[in-house]
Order: sequence, then structure tokens, then C-alpha cells
Amino acid sequence: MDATRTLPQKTGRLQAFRLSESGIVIWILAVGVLFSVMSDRFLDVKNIVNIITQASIIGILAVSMTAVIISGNGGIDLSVGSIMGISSVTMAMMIIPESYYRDTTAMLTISSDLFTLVKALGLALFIGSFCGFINGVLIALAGLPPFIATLGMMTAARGVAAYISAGIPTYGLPEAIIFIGQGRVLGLPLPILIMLVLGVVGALVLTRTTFGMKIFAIGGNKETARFSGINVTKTILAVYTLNGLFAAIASITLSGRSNQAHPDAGLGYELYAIGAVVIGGTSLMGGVGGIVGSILGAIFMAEVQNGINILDIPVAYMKPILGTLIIAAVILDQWQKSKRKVG
Amino acid sequence: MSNEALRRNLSGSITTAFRKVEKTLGVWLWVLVFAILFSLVSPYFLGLLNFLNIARQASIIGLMAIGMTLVIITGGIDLSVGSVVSLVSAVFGVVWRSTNNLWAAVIVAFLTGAACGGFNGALISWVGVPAFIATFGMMGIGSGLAFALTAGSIGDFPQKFEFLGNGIVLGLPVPVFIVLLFALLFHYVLRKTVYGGRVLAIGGSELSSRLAGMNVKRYTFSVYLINGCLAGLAAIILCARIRSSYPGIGQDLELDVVAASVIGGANLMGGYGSIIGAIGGGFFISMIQNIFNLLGVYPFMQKVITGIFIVIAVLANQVKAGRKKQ
Repeated sequence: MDATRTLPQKTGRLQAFRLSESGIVIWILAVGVLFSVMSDRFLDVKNIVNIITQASIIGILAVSMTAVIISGNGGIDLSVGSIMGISSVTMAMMIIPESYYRDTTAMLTISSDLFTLVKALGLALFIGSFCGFINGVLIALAGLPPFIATLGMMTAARGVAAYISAGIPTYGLPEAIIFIGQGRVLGLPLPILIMLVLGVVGALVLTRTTFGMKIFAIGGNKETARFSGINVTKTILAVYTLNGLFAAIASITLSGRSNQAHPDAGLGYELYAIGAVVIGGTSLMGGVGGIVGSILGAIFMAEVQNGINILDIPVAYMKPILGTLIIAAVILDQWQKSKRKVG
Repeated sequence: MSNEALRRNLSGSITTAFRKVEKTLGVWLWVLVFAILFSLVSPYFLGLLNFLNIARQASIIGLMAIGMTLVIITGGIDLSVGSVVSLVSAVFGVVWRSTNNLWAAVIVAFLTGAACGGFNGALISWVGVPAFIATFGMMGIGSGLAFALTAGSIGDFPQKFEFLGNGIVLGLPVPVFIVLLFALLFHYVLRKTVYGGRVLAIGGSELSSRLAGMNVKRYTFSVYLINGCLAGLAAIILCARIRSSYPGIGQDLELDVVAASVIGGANLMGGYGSIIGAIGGGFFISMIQNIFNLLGVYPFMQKVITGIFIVIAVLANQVKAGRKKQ
């Protein structure tokens, strides 16, 4: 499409990766300094851990969303928020079946034996991956624009989630699932660890494996990738399926954190995940980007939300401030890149 | 021998005639087909009142889809139109409540829409922010500010204003005439004017357009400005129709609007789109939502089926485009 874009080369890509990271790091620090000047409650280890925990759900989504966006050709996934809803609800359906038979008089029994847990988590992960797979089929095989295919999935999955649960959230999940969302390992909240592990693995896969190279190559130029023997269809299928799987993981984490399975779980998260990826320096045109930047982008957004809460700014201003900062971050990032290009 | 040739000629000309009908009608053919289907399914579908209802709803989506189609043709997207509608609605209500001056409210509200669109356009064209991000940011700004301005709904508009949304002229709702006017205007602009040609060219290849000496940035700015203005207008009509202003009025509207444009044939990669098709897309979506309500389909399942319909419609468009290419 754009004749000026070149194929991703190893050095060029790594450079872009570093550049984008430095941009977002500056933003995180600048906003952090601003907030700590304005409130003495901001710069506190507990609060900072809190911010990163808040960022972890979006961070998990952003890991695989980065791959989707890098794969280019309009690559985007609007359905992850809805996939979170459907995963959350199907998981609860396995654990607390009574509430799904609409039998409100029955005592809710939470089956928390290992087999039920494995079944519930397995089903949640399967449903997430399956939704992602359907996205992939529509995009890679049927040739739909990703925006449309995932927009359809977004409404469809949310509808099914609401239908299964009759729109009613289920409270009270087994200890094990609550542990995933609220537990601590080595003093760190588990969601942070999940995000870090997935982020590191994702970054390694993206930069060090042939699968990652294929994603960059397809994002750089689909036709060239095809002619150099890459199975474009299979790779795109895998990328969207993985994105569904990651949405399910994020959903389990969120369910555990909030101790509920909600059909509206993850409502609007897709845009935050995409926002995090783009703030992190991944180009929406595809072919350029990195996962570390995306996670930092998620942390940046959580930082801003946290600061707004701490400063007692009315909630109505949360979205405008966040929106302005997202735009500003991208402008700064671009300005920085163009400066380096000239200099 | 000549008989054979004649028959082949005839069948060929019938096929081409059908293709011609399909080509000229586009999505409207499907609107017709589904209208017949739906009227077989529900006896209430074909009623005059129901038709007027669909037409009113389709006018709002259609009006916004005109602007969205222009945006999509340039290869962009505008996620903010729903929030802009919310903000314009809130501004309209607040100005009306504080001044009791209808004209002031309408003008300030419209200018708010124009300002949002202009802001998007400036960011995208001159600052170079990707359209997805600029309008995503605007989406947050718009919906947040709407609720910051007023938390509840404001009503009690004068009768003559409500005529804009609910009035009937020559048997048709007033919004239908408004959307018709703008559809014809922008159809003409897109197909017959230099401006339209350049907008299409930018979507085809921004680089070639720039090299050909076009002021790409100014044209890009203009489509977002137009889009904001039309969203503002749609919001004012919506206020008149439901007789109140509400800061959450436009939530998720952008998805319907993008879907209408794409169902109408707009290509998300840019370079192609149809105004008349977009109005048809708006009609199609309103019709589906309407038949679900008539049949008493679970609101949750409505979402599922709407999603599936969008996907199928675009697939059908794509098959058609593929055939054209061959």
C-alpha cells in the first residue's frame, strides 16, 4: 500500500523497538513526577504495585494484540473484550451450574474439586481460543477485513455471554480462581507475574522465532511474504487464535480479581488494549512494533487512571484526560521518531 | 446455428441485465429482499407506522454514515462519532436549559460537532496521528465531557423543534427529507466534482495523490470536519425525535455507522465507497433491529444476529468485488 515502507530488517526493527520504548518510558516518568508533585500518596511502593496490578489485565491483552497489529493488513481485534465476557461466563457455568439453571431457590454449591476447576479453566481457555479461531478463519480464509470480522465477533460473543447468563453476574468463585486474581507469589500479585511471564515469552517468540519473523514479514508486505514461501493463512489464523486465548487468560485473571463472572466482563477493554499497543510504539500500519512497549503502554494508562483517582478528579473527567494523554503520547512518539530520522 | 447463438445471446443478456440491476441497486437490492422476507415473517412489519419508524431510525444512522463513508474512502476511520453525538446532545440540552433560546442551542450544538470533527481532522492530517488513535482519544473526550456537562436528561423543547424529528411532510418523516438532501448532495460531490475525485484518489493512494500535487492534508482535514458536522446535525435531529437530550445517547452508535458504511460498499482500506449504499446500509441495520423487536427476539440474541449479518453482508460485497475484478 505504502511504497515508501521497507521490509522489516533485523536491525531496523530492533531500532524501532528501542525507540518506541524510550518514548513511553519518558511519558511514564513525566506523568509520575507530575502526580507525585500533586499528591504525596502517589509515590508509594504499595500504590505503584497497585498501578501495575491494575495494568496487568490490559497488559495481558496487549501482548497478543501487539502481534495482531504487527501482522498488518488492517490487523486489529475489537472482539477481545467480548471474548473475555463469554470466557468468564462459561467458566462460571462449569463451576456453579445451579445459577445457570435459573434456580434461585437452590443453595449455590461451588464445586471446587480439581476436576471441575480444570474443566472450567479449560473450557474458558477453549472458548476464548475458539472465538479467536473463528476471527482467524473469517480474516485469513474468507478474506474479511479484520475490523469487520472482529466487530461481528464483538457483538456476537457479547450477546452469547449475556444469553448464557441471562445477563446476571455470578458472585463467589472458588478459592483457586480467586488466587489467580488476588494471590501473591514472591510478594508480587499474581496478575503482574502472569503479565510479565506472558510478556517475556511473547516478546521472545516475536523477536527470536521464525513464527515471530513471519508475523513481521506479513505485516511488512503480505504479498512478498507469500512469495517467499510463508504460509500467510496459517500464520494469521494462529495470531488471531492466540489473541482469543490471551483474552481468555485475561478474563480468568479478571474474574478471580473481582471474584465474579460477569457477562459484561471486559466491556470496552479492546480499545484500551489497542490504545496500550499504539502508545507503546507499535504502528497500526503493521510491520513495526514490540511487546515491551505495549506493556509499558498499559502501565501508562493505569498510572493516569490511578493519578486521577488519587487527585479526586471527578470520574467524568477520567475518559477525557485519558483520551488527551493517549493522543499526546502518540504525537510525542512520532515527533521523537521524526527527529531521530533527520538527525 | 443462429438459434443457438441467439439463445446464448439472450441468456447472456439476461445475466448481464441482472448484474446491472444488482450493480445499480447494490445494497438496496438486499434491503428489498429482506423487506419482503421480513414481511412474510411478521405481519406487523409492512405497516405504515412501522415503516415510518424504521425510516426515522435509518435517517440518523444514514446521515452519519454519509460522513463516515467519506472518511473511510480516504482510508481512515472515525470511532468518535457516537461520543460526538452524546456531547452535542448534552451541549444542546445545557444551552437550551440555560438560555431558553432554541437557535442559540442549535447553533452552539452544531458548532460543537464541527469543532470535534475539525479537531480530529487537524490531528490526523497536520499532526499525523493515526486516525484510529486520534478518534479513539476523541471518543473518550466526547463521552466524558458529555457526562461532565450534565448527568441526566434535559427535555421540554418547543413543539416546532420536535417537528424536526417527528414531523411528517408528504407522508414521510422530516429526517428522511434531510438525509435524502444530504445524500444527493454528497453523492453528487463525490461522483461529479473535483473535490470528490480527489477524496477518492487520496484513498486509492495517498502517496500518488501527494506526488500529483494535491494538498492531501487539506482534503483529509475536510472529510473529518464534514463527518463532525453531520454527526452534530444527527445529534440535533435525535434530540428532536426523542424529545430530550441525554449524555449517553450516542453510545456505541459509531459501530452501527461504520457497519452501515461498510455494508453499503465502502472499502475500509480506502479508495472506494458509496453514499447511496451507505444510506441503504443504515436502512438495512435499522430493519434488522426492527424485525427483532417485532418478533420479540431476546435483546442478547439480537446482538448475535446483528453481528452475523454484518459479517455476511461484507462477505457478499467481497464476493461481488472479486467477481468484478475477474
